[in-house]
Amino acid sequence: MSTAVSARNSPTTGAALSLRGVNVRLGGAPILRNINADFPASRTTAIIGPNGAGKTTLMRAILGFAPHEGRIEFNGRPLGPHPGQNGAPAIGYVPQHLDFDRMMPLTVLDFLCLTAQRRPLWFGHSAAALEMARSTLARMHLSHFERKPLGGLSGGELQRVMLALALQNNPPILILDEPISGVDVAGEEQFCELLAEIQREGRQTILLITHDLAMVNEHADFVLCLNREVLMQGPTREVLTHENIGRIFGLLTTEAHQAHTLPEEWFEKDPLAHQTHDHAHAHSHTHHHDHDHAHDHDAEAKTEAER
Amino acid sequence: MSGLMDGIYHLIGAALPFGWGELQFMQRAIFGVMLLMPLCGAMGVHVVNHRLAFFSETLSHATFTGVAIGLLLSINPSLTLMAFCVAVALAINRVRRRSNLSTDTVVGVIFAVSVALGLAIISAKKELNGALSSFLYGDILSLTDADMAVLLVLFFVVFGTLFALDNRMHLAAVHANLARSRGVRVHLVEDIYAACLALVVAAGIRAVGLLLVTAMLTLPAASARSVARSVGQTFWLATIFAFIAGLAGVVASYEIDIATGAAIILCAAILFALAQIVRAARA
Repeated sequence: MSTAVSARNSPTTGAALSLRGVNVRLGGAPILRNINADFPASRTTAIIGPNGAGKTTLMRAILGFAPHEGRIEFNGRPLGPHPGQNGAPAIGYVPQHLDFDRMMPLTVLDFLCLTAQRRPLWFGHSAAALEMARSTLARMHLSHFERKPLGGLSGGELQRVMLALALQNNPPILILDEPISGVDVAGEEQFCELLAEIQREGRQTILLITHDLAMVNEHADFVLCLNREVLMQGPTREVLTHENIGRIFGLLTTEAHQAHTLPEEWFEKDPLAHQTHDHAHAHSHTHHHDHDHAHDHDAEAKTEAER
Repeated sequence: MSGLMDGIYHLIGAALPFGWGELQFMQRAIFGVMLLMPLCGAMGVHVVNHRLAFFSETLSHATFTGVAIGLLLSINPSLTLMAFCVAVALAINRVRRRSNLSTDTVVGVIFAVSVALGLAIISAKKELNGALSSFLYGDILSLTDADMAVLLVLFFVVFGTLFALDNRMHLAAVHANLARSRGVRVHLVEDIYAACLALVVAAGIRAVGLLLVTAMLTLPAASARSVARSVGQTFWLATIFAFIAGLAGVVASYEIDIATGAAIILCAAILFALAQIVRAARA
């Protein structure tokens, strides 16, 4: 499978984050095999692949949550199991559309201060934490949310607050895990505008895990195609061709010709692109390894929940 | 230590109206409530946020086995009950993380095992039956100076721990991996919290009995959560509600001669009902 498509242009120059020979096992079963990947500095790299491809596991390995073999380095220094601690670079992380207890009394300001101050919130917000939280909210154009309960936000608003939290301490790496799945179209647009702003500022090396090829086209400079191993990587324009898309997603479909029916909109910055999401999902769900992958996905989800 | 206790009792005695303060057992009971109830209120916030009601129910039932083990081995049951309770709390966390079972299944299994072990011990040693009943129903009026000293230490240990861990527990309640990405060692924090919860449950047993200790953890916190809008409000309201329920319960149990534990929980339930009314009125 690894030889099915080879990368013509591996982005080795200026790689900030690099993975060498990374293997991850879950309960003895290999989830990721010999991952060699480069994420160029200050650019956005999308990680795409079918369900159960190990995208989430790869992210967990980078974040230090999943035990792994091999090297994960940022500017030549190994990323430890505790990002942001003991001199290891901090990683901003925006989780998938949150499934959390929405009735918890927690304001947006509370939420941002939880990580910004040592003393418990019941002794009030510390002046330094408040200032940090407010300036982050202002930068994200979210100042009007500060007194709102976190659980009362819409999906899109919540993801913007998550992005604000992720960027609060200016981490050099930002990981977005399916940031707009389950978010309505309006929320998606607002999130994407904000993301574009952050990309223009260029302070972060961004990893974007997504199913959404329109989003990849819009935001990613580079693409890493994953299915338990690296299928290919390179600049978005070169990797996301009709033929390759067909191979990545079509590889696993029983009817290979489906790949050729992928809508044109995927490859262009087209406002109609959003309407094609359902097709994308339909494709990634029709492959004949469905059972295997559903199982793997469960396993991933389980560790996600338990850890 | 006894000098300190006497001083505290004297102060409580002087502060209480209607001559309640002249009764020494009332002074003790009020002091016990002053220490225990805020602990329950504050710890209860995370019991509610992390959905640990069944978990704490299991801990309260584990105390029964802890006492039985102590009586069987002729070790001070107050010690064995704390030790066993902490062991059960940590065991649940460990099994939960390693198995592919849902949390409630793991908790249910350990609940059953610990109760069965306790029943096996007391059925083999029938003479232990009598000693156990005080743990089943609890009695805050019978707390000894030693119990008070333990409570006092626990008060500072648990509040000190909460001071250090509270923000991290809240972040982990929102999203464990998000908390990890911010450097929170989620498993460690959960384990420390669980051990503290076990100690609070073990102490709570002496006051209200194992049947009601979970209510003491969940009711004030649930009431607070119903009306609070922020983390700070939740904490203070839970602590204050627990404290008020404790005081009112002790007084009510004295005035109308009912079990103290039951009186405290009923007072907490009244506050819970009021909180629901306030919430409904706001909406």
